[in-house]
Amino acid sequence: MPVRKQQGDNLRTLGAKVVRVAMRDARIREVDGLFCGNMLGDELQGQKHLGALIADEAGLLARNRGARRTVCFATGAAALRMTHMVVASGEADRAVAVGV
Amino acid sequence: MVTPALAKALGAENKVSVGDTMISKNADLMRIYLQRHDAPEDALVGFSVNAKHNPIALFRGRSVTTREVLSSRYIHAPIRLFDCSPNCNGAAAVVLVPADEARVYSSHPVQILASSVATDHFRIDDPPDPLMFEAARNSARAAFRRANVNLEDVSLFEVHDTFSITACLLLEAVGFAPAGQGCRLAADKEIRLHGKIPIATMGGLKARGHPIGATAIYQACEIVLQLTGRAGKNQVRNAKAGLL
Repeated sequence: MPVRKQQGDNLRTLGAKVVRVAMRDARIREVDGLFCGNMLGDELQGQKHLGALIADEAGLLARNRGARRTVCFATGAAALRMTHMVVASGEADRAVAVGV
Repeated sequence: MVTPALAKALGAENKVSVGDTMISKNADLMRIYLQRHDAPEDALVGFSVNAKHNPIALFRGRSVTTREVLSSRYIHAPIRLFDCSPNCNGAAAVVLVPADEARVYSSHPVQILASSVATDHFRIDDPPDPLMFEAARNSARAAFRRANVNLEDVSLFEVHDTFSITACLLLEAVGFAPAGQGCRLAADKEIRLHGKIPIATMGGLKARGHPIGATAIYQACEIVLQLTGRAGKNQVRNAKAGLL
């Protein structure tokens, strides 16, 4: 997704778009978990809870865990780390990390 | 609007209340760095003159010259405009699957050899040495140990160059340069695409942009592009391993 000063989409649809692109690229329809890196959604867009909302918007099943991670400037890396851990531990077979 | 929101990551009572921001705290770091190492104010200019040609970057195809950087206005001295990364919007995603199944999903999979986390004092007044990013050093060491690789094995480093001084201190923390010598890597162009340790190969936070929570996922995608030979004009030759 091109980086811009402003995007036409809200954070939920923006996140869902790239999740769908990444899943299409990996030729998968389902994941066992989704971890979202987002730092300022509640401050700037008035939106918390983005992990679950993006999972919904991307059409993932309810059993898929969607969680938002916020660790200051390491936010995206923390989401990636969490995704790595669930797959490496065998907790999930397939998982997606999204940053928005 | 973004700067005050980001400043809330600092101490509310003793930092934000006196007007501190992420910019002012990084300006403090840069000032301490220049003083301690007796470096001129333009010592970090090489961190602002780096890669371009990323089609999805915020500042696409934009060249920045040394003169332009040094004549740009102060945002918070000694930090100038081109020492800073622009806050912006974006989204990126990656799919992870078990390594032994990866070829089912992709003809060009990239393996995560290791990941690690570490934490440190946050406020620069607290740690024994504000110029040593202990968390970065410790997490990098642990990840290298688990992955069984050395610094020399790293083909590129997608560094968190939110400010020039941050990139410099991270290079030193990870071990690519001794203390006070990170700025030499930039001055000697060793951080460029064909240098000793290419950083920010798709423009980094300054040119690609810094969509804060999404930044590291962009960096992960950029490392995948590099390791699969799909980075176009920004391709690092023979890229084998990337550090995020």
